[in-house]
Amino acid sequence: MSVGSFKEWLSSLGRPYPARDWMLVLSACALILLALLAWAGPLFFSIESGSAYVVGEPSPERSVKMTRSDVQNVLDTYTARSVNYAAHNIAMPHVVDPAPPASLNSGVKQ
Amino acid sequence: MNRFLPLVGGFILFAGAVAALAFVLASVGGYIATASEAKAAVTSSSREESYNEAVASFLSDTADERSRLSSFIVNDAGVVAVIQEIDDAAKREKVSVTIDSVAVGASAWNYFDPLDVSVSATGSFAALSAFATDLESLPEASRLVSFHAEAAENKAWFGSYRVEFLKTKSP
Repeated sequence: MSVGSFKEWLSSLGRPYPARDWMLVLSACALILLALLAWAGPLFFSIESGSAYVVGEPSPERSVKMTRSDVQNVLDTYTARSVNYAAHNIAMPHVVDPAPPASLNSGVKQ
Repeated sequence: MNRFLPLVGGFILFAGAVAALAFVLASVGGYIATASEAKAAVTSSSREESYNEAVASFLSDTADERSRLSSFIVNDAGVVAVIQEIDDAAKREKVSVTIDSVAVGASAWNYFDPLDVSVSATGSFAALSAFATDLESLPEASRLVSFHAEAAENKAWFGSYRVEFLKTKSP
């Protein structure tokens, strides 16, 4: 549609033409109804499926990570440590003095 | 003019019906949002309640164990005993020991603080190593953070130790 013919069509709106006018009115009403349907349709289906009632991501569920046996294990560890320490039942490391023997030091001239 | 009245009336009715439908849809949307928030709040509250019940049950079940575990944690009155214990270990391993510092460190914990004890000792290399093993094996909730040794005169060695104990927060 060129600009000229569009202006001509606009000016023709001022003149009564029942078939065209009724079509315009019906089209406008149909558009409004379609817009309402586009609003109501998703709303209806979201209610029906239950997705309308979901708000964001559910927060991660908190749970007690430690069990009674975990606490008992820690207690056993420290009880054993205490008993072993009291009895001096401690594995001593076998170490050798890394310092050079005194005989080597005595031979060093100052 | 009268022939347009049905048309105008029809338009008014149509506009009224559209407005009423739009109002109903908007209201339904608002109610759904409210219901969603209420459902989320109930779910969250239910989860929180079951979590609190689980924690309360855990605390109740482990009351005895936790009470016995607390005896391995140093408190304000037990700091001197800990120093004495280190001194006894030094005597047992035949090292000459000096307590350089005892300090409560900073922590993000709610109920406990680290208690840092710095110790220096002199003795044979084997004795210093044995003393380090003793410090690693103390019965309290503790750990040997560091141990440095350097040779001194007459086959003697000088050692420095840092031991960290778990201590209850001072009131």
